[in-house]
Amino acid sequence: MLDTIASGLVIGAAYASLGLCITLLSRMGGVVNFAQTTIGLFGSYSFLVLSDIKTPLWLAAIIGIIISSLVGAFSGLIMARWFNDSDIGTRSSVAIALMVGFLSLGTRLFGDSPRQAPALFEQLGITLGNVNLDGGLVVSLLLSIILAASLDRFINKTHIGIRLQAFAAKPTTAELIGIPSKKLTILIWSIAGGMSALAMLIIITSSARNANYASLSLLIIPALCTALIGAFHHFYWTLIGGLVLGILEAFILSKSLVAAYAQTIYLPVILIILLWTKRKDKWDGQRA
Amino acid sequence: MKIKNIVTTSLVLTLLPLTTASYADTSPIKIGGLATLSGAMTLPEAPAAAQAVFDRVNKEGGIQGRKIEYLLQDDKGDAGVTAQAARELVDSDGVLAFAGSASLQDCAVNARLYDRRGILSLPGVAGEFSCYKKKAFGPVSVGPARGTLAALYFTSEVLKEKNVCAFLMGIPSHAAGNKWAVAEYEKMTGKKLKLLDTTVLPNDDMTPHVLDARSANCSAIVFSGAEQMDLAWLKAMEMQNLTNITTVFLTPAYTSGFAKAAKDYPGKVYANSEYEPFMSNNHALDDWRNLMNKAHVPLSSFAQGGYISATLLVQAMKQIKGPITRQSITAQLRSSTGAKALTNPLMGTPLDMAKTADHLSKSATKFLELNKGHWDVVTPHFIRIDTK
Repeated sequence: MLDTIASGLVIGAAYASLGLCITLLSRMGGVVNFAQTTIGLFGSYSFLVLSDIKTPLWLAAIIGIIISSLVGAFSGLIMARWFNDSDIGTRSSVAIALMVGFLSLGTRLFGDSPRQAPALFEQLGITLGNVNLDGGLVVSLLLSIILAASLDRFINKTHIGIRLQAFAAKPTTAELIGIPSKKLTILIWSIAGGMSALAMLIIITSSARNANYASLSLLIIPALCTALIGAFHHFYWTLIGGLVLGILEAFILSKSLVAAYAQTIYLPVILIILLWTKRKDKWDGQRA
Repeated sequence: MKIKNIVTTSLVLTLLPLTTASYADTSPIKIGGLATLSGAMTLPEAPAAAQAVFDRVNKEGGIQGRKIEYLLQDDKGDAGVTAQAARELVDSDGVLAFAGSASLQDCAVNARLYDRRGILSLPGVAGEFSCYKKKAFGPVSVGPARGTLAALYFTSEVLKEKNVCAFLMGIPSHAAGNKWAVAEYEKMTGKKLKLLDTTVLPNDDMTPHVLDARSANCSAIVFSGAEQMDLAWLKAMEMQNLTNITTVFLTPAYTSGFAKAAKDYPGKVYANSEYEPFMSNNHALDDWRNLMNKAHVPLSSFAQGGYISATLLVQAMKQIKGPITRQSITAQLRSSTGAKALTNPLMGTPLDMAKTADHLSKSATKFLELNKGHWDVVTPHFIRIDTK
């Protein structure tokens, strides 16, 4: 059992860190960002390319994070310039278009030749049950916990955080009362881009995943599911959701009869959450 | 009578130039190719290699004085586009046969069309299990199902490993091939696998699978996955200190990029090659290597598949006595059976194109061992698998 939990944490830490980036952008940018993993992958792949040509790892990591921040800022610019007043549905559709565009561009730029990622936090590795966890995963778990706590505090307890939420809800009104909404949109997208680059970088260097641009970008699906567990709003629930989802997946993988369906776990989880959170909603005329 | 003779003579004189013209047909021989050239995963090497073969034939004067025109269509990795592109090539362009195709949907989508139009295809890359069962196709590649069977056989019968486990790709298109390979292995050797996991997906974290291998006490693992998945597998094995377990990969791992990326892995790693291993120094590779270098086609197994498929089709077309048409090519290929089966030095087993031929029953591969960043051939002779 401890082994299953440990290998679930390996999977869940990745989901949680990406889910937090999505929740951040949803809270402060008013958009469900489907392009989150593809934006992050630009930075993490730049890191791989740079580390391949013997750039010091810390420098390669910083450059990678900056690149994703710039890609994020570029996406934010598109959003601010043309879609600041659009509803969340339109903005999320634009995010889907960005995801498709970045996916094609990233696959072309970085190809599918094999890349072995260097270990970043090897000395921090721990053993849980009979499972060895890479140091990166420990860092990823800690980072996710710190991020969830600090983002929650920042948004709910600070003056800037409250202003940002107001801006996310009504950008035009925010602009009228003197909040520079366009600049803020770009800034938030840029921060989320950098954060997702860091998350993807840790995933690539520490987990045993197929380091292929296209398949790593599919991590957006569990990441969205994780953010949904937090209703795209609560950071702590997003964190818990990611870890629970990872452990559930590992548990199903350990049962050979149902292992083939491990990745279909997202659907029932989403359904159960929606049914639970919307249990008091009026679903049809009968209950009105 | 005299008038009759005059009419006959003038008719003969009128028709003679026409018949001469049909023997001296100089129109190009249209050959089709379908490949995934755009999208997330592209397979451009096989058709590029086929083009190089046809260009050389054209430079040498063509076949019966006719040049080969290679018409290549992009299937965009989409079944609908694959069907539409094949229709265009067969019905509008009037191609006579297919060679060098590298489309993962072609066999499933277009078999019926090819059957109806009496046209044959020699795919350069055939990943789909149905390619080996449908009679319109004569795939030159070994493919994942036959490759898995060869890898299982090599692991238990050549390496003499006792506790063999298999972790096979769980995507739906591999399900039938996986089932066939495991059943044939058990029938051939009378042995059971210690553990069979057919749930490995491309975007899985490999850790839970590796932990299963440890619980099952596997001494060797056959793993079928794409190149990057193979690397992820080794990473998980190393992370969980399981490098004492031998790993046997299929042909996607046999690349210089993989060897370089996995050069520090301390355990035993093998992979198979579907043709004469392209990184070896065997002279059988000389012609292929020179041609690919001249045509600037990157050296890979895919390029070998494209080269072999085009070369075999050229071989068959050169043997045709009368005019080269769709019917005559199909008839010539169908008669390439038994001792007359098409072959090339890069292949371990000839390609029997008879309608009754069972492509699944015979295959041949060579195995390589990873050794400090490069692959060494460990089976100098092809390991031939005959399931009959």
